[in-house]
Amino acid sequence: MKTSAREDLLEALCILSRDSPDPPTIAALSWHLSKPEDEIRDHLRALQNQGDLHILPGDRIEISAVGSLIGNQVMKKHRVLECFLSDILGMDRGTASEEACILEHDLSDEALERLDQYIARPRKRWRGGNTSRPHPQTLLDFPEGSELKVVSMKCPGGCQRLLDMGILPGERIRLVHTLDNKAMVIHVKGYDVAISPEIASCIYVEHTE
Amino acid sequence: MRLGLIGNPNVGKSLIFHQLTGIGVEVSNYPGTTVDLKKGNLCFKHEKLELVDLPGIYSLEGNSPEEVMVRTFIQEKEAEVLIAVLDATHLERNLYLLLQLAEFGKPLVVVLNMMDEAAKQGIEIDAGKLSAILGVEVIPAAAITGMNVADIIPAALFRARSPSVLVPYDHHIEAAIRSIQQVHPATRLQALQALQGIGTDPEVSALVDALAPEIEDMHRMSVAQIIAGNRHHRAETIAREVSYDKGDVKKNTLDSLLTSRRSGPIILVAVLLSILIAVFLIGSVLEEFLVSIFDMLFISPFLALPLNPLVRQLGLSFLLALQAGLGIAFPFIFTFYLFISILEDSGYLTRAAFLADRAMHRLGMHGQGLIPLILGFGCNVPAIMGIRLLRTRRERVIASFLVSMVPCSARTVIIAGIVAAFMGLPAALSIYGITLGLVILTGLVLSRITPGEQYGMILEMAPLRLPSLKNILTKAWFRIREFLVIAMPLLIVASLILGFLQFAGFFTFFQQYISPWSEAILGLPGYAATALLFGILRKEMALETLVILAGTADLPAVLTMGQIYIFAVVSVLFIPCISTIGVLAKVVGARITLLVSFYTLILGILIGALINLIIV
Repeated sequence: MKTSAREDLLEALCILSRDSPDPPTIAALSWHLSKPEDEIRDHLRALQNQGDLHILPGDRIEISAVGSLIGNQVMKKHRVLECFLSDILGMDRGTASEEACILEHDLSDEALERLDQYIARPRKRWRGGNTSRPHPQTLLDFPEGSELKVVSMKCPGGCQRLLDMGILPGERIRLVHTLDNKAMVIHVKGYDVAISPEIASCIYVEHTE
Repeated sequence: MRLGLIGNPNVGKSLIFHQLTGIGVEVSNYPGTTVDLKKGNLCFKHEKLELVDLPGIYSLEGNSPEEVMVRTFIQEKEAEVLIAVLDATHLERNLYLLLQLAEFGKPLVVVLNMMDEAAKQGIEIDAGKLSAILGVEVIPAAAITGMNVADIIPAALFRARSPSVLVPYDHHIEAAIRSIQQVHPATRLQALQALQGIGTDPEVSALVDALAPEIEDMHRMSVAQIIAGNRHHRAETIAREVSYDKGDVKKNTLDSLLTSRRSGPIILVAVLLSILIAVFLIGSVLEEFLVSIFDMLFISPFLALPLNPLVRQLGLSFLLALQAGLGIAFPFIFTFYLFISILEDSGYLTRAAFLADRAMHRLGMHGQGLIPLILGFGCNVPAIMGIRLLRTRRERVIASFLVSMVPCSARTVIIAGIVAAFMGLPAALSIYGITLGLVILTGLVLSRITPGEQYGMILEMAPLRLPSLKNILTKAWFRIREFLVIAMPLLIVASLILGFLQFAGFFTFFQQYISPWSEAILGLPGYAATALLFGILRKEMALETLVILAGTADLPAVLTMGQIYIFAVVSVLFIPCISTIGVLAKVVGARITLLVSFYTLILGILIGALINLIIV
């Protein structure tokens, strides 16, 4: 089996064992990784042979010291990468997480350490340009005619109506008109929607070219 | 057999409904809700069918009263076949609802409406391909020209199928659906609904509470966001596969003029003012005409009949109520609703709501609250019914106060009948000024003291269209029917009671009792106070009663100008009429209704006393 598959499995086991005191079950693992149990079972047997883990009776898995070390290391790489990609570089959280899943397997320990340090104190290392992380901007911060992309939304009491109208993370929208109190008309999916300022204030957006 | 029409707002559902059913439509509340349901009958090959026009919705998983009602309607299998109406010019957004509908697995046919409009915008849609993807029949149609509308019923009767299209959800969502199904025998639809918090099974809810945070943690998005995202994505893919857009939609300069920051508010004020003035003028002319015809045809012949005094009194009261309703209120209300229907059908009403958002925020509501306020100028009763479209209780409470204070057409009759007639137009306008000023003041205060959260406006701008005469008349007729069905019967009963009291000599008794109070506080003679009191039953009756009790139509002979003015102000302000109170109780409950009545009563007397102090 591939190294990345091994690391993914051990990472998942570490996450699951962290969450509960009992050793994780194969079913939980299968759900977490969204892979069929049979495939997982094959991989687990291979890893047991390498000494990474033990399959206990009752389909529970106990991770060994070596396995735990590798798993935790990968988990940390994932977290650091995801944090870097989303918080520092401003990528979408979901995409950042997916990207981190790929990058985590090839990141050297030194690169990890330096990234981790950088995230802790980004300002000191950033010479020249904008020193602070860009403040998240809402629809209220943009003028009429802006072409925007929704980054995230936080509505008190849910945003079901906005979601149903197609206003959701990743969607491109155009700010058609704003009034003095920042009530606005936005163009999304080919039609115009009027929203109040308090609704606009919970839609986080960024410029698109 | 029963068929249901379902679709987004503004897709031409109602037009199709009216074309299929013609005359004889029944509007009723769906049991247990305040949502209107239009039902009509039609005959196809000697079989009687019932067609239900469901309210326009954006989603089957939302929690607005309309969305919940339509969801229940479909789940309870109240219609055998559904007819889904899609707008060809906004295929993608409309497919979102259709994909949700497909999950319910009910037999349906799809009507792809507004094909003519789409062709004009350079959009071509391959209906055959769409039909193959969805797994149901797709009928390209244009309701406005009647194209293919005749095909809808045969297709729904003989070729309706359950759609085969499926939304592929994110693998975590799919896994969660499987987990729920393992624990509990649930369909895919039930599992999906449970994930979004719809459903009451405690076992499933507990499982969802465990699953959802994990998924949300992995995606950094709520489950509802992921599901909506997947559906929109599928809708987008389908729309792209079947439609071909030849060019960009041209930017509508008129629209941009109507909603721009500078010209928009000016146009809005101009439109509303000219409507009010036009209604005032047209209404007055029609009223005079109808009242004189009524007098000639019914009241004079009736008075000439030899009858016993009680029968004569009651008969006269009945005729006067009819005259007041049909001869006086009707011309104003119908003219008003004609204009409102034009505003609505042309798509301007949504723009007006947007422009008013700022002002309405000050009053504790948002843009959509403008619509019932405007409707209130016609008759408060349908306006109060319109309050239901506001989303939070806080806004409904505030709106119920403000709408009850808006001078309706019956109050316009008083203002026009005595103030404009005896004191001139400026004095009449000043009463409007006082009333609207108090509406605004009340709103400002209420917005600070009313408990509850405020939820802003999310309102789709209806496309600008040239309204068709037939549609406007139908809409105005539906609105006026609310007035005829709810307000008129109350009006007649109230009038009969009044006639009886007058016959029994109650007026003289009451007058003796109220005289010292009314003279001290309002500076009005006792009979004027009696007239005011009976204005509660019917606003414009205050004027009639005054004329009857004063014994002359030449009021300046018996009252000073100041007294006439005070009488008008108090009768306009205080206590909404009995029909409004009845509807208020239905929409916002007894407590708020009592508060509204009490508040307006105090306010009317207070302002009357204040004017009395100033001018005497």
